[in-house]
Amino acid sequence: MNCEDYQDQLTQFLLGELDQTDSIRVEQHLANGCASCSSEFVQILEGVELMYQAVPVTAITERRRQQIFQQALRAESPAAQSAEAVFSIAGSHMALRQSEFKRSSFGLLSVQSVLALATGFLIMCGVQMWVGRNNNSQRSPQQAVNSNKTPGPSALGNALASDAEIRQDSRNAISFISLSPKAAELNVNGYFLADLLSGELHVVGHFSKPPQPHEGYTATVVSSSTETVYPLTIEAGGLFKLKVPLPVDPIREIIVRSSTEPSAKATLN
Amino acid sequence: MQRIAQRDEAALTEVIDLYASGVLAISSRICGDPIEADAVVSTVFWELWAGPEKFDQQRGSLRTYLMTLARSRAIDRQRANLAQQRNSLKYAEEQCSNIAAVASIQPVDQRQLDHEQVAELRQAIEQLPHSQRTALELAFYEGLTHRQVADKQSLPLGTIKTNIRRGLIQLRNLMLEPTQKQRLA
Repeated sequence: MNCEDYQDQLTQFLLGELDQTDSIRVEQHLANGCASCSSEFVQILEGVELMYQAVPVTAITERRRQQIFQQALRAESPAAQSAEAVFSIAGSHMALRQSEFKRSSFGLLSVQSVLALATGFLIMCGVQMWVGRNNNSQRSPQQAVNSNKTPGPSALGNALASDAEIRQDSRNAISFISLSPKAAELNVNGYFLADLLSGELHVVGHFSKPPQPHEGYTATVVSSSTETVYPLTIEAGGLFKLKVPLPVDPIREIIVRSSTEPSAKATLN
Repeated sequence: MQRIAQRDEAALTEVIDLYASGVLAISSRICGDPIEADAVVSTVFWELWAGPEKFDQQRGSLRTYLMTLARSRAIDRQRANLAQQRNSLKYAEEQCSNIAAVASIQPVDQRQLDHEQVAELRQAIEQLPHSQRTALELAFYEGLTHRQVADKQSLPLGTIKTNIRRGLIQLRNLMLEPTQKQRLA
């Protein structure tokens, strides 16, 4: 191998992508004092450090830091320390390792249920939106109100829609929240995520029947003291996403409206 | 690091305070799932404590070591999960991952560079030629290996290696050459 070959492998060497043989070969070449490759190595290393510096850092709670610290001190790796979490979705009962949560059989759209989670600083709540498209829905907004409110881990946890379940895992760090499917008249469903740390509200929804392209849609976020209207962009397939400031007061409703009439409403309290 | 090697728990706390946010950020970007990212963070600091001798100062700062370790572990987890992911409800998974990733990455704290410098750095990344920037972002922020970047972009591996290498050096030159300021930790 010549220097050009070594230089070709320096980034992979730094990122740990080389197999042991190649890695040792590069290491030895650098240790032998090749000026050209060492210079190249330093420049690449500085570039790598800059790439990492450009990543917006993620907030981490003091409690989570403590957990990391405690886990680091243990004899076994965190991979072997995972806890069991049990939660219920759409009537089915599952036991999953918490790290497998993402691959569980819930489906945002396919089972018309909504799942949300809260991890430390991140609080996520789910809602199922229901539709009174022609203002003559058989259900009133009040029927979506949770009559048996489930205590939650967040300010929003006491304002969940019906059928919500919250189970906390054994570390008390993660909460699973799920909602059962509602009536057949649904044609919009989705979920929201209230990020209390950044003060942002994320809403993702889906029209099971994609709306007319010419119709303008808005989402109205209603809290105890404010009511703010945001324009919605409906993506291909009827998806919409919204990221807006989180109201100071608990959210009471998220209403999706067409340009002509109310089309969907999630009542939270 | 010497203190960590001497089993000084206070030193470990300091390192976690300094770098856990960055490690979580890179893990979140690669995993796209806060739970997975959380597991990566725990693993990274566990590995640091269990094997401090693996850190080689010649290969960069402690920050870079931890970030690179996080990238590697996140890739490992992605690989391990691949088979299961194929059987999952992909659409729902993507939606959940997207929203979780968006929400979990919050620019609330920059310990190494101040706000202005980070903005300048991101601007420098934007200035890179498209082919270099894309390859770098896939490799560093999406957690793809060089081979995977090549596959994704349908380009020869050699081209990707060159794009990433040149991109890194050009970024370094854009940021460090004009002023010779010491911007890195």
